[in-house]
Amino acid sequence: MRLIQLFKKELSHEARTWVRDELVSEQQANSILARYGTSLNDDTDKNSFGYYLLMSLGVLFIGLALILIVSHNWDEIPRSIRTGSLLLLTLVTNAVGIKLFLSKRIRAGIIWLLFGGMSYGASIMLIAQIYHLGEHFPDGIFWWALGILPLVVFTQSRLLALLSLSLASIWLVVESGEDFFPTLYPIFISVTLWLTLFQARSRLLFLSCVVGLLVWINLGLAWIMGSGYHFDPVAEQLPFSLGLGLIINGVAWWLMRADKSDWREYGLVVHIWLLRAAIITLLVFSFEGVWEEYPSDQSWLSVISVIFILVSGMLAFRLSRASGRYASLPTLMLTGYLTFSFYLVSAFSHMEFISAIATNLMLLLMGILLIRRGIDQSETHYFYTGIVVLLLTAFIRYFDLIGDYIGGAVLFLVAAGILMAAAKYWKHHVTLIALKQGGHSE
Amino acid sequence: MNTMTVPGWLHKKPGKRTIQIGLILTLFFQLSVLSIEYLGSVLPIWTGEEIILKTEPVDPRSLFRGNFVRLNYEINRIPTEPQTEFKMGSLIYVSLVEINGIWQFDTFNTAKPKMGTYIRGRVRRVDSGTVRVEYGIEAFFMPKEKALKVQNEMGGQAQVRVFVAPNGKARAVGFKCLGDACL
Repeated sequence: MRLIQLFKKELSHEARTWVRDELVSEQQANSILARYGTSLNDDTDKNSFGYYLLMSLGVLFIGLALILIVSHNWDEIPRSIRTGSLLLLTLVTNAVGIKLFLSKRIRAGIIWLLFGGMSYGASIMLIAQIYHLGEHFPDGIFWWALGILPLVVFTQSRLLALLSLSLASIWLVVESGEDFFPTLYPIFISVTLWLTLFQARSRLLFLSCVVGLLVWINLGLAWIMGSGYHFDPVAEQLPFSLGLGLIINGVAWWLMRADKSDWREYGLVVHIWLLRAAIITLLVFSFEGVWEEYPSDQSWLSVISVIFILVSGMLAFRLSRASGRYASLPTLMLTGYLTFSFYLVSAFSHMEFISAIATNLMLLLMGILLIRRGIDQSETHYFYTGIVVLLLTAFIRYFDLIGDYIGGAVLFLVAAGILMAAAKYWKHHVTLIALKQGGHSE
Repeated sequence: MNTMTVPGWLHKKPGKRTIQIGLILTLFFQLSVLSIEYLGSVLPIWTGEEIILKTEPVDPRSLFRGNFVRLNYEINRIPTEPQTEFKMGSLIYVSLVEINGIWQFDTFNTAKPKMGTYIRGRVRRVDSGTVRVEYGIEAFFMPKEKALKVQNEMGGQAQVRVFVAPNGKARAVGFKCLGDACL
């Protein structure tokens, strides 16, 4: 799937100027835009959206002001009046929101429901303050998020979903910070995924769900390691996270082949962010010291984690195979490299050096493949990412030598050899294509 | 292109009647949460027995709830046998005994005691020989100036008035006057 899909609003805007300048007809412009899942009318309500966005932000600020006002401790006002006022505010704001929403004034209704949601949260916090509740305070945030969640289902509002998911994510952080496992977090993820996949498009919400789910699974693993009593993250968890990354990348490629344009966009966005995350991870792993942190004992956990990478890689390959070599080849390469490196480090001692070299070679291959992909698919993003990967690898290795000066020099020479061989192959490939085209024209 | 059969209900938009009922039920749910929180807060005060606990105030600030003094009670740390195992967050009942007007730790039990004055708490941390228990009365909200006054003038000598309900749930209601420090 082409990156241009992510700029369809800009494309729609450009197409309107082409029609205005009589370069293309309205019908032609719409035909072109239809290829990208958009139309000339796609962005015409941007003024009303701007109004909606600013109003929503205004409500958010009012909500924050409300929380600060009630946090002031109004000792002089009787407790029952303070509590009653907050309950009344929650009732009135939500009731107005419901009335407006049901009378087809959807956006106004949602803004009032957002305000109602803020009032509801402020009320939870204020009652806790008035009666000096020192109990587990993340519960308050959880009930706040949960109280807004049904509104997401019934209004299908992305704004309310964002509020609910943000609150749930804050709860995830503070709950685990207090050494409790946020078991119910997937409820919020499920509802938001349902909204974004089947009802309303939002790349931000979809990506947030993927990140939230990854964090939750990792917390779950750490919780299991701590025997379900406390979090005990271990180094062996890392291969599990990387395996999950492989699976999600496979799902991203699968989404990019979906019939629905929204799903294709989600797949592309997830793939791009995973690509960035993979490059950063590889750059971190390119240091020998990082591998030294990994335990070199063949425990059952390290064996399972290597098997998990292998199984994840196979699953990812199966999901991405139909999307072509730029989908399946990196999956195979990464699976092979991760399985090899983690197995080597956990099964034998003093193998960090080999794993670090393997990572550097992997970075080189990744860079070459990205440059190739960028040129083949005429996508400058991949081309320049490939260049950056190669330059960063060279820069890091120049200052952080592996195996002293001679070892570093050998590594650079091997890298140069690979780059030149790639260039030669490329030239050969281009010549072959030219010959074929010449043959066809004759 | 992938073709996948998705159950129809996932795509289906709820009808007007469903939305109407759903939104009203949501509002009812929100108000119920607030009412339960309110009743849970006031019931120990309405039905409970007043006791005095010794505490030490410190002064943090809550992100959501404003200024408060954190109260460290003597009964927050209770002595246990080193081998005793506790599950994090599990309920614990601490029986109290009155000595010179201050209620102090007597014994603890994981089951609700049949008689006497006891307070219900949850295990928060287990150390060798002690367990940290929290009772939901560890925060006392007040304006910053008052919080600082409590911290400075009462120091480690503060005494808090607490109501304990028959089920052991406790609610702090105020500080007992000590010399000039009276709130």
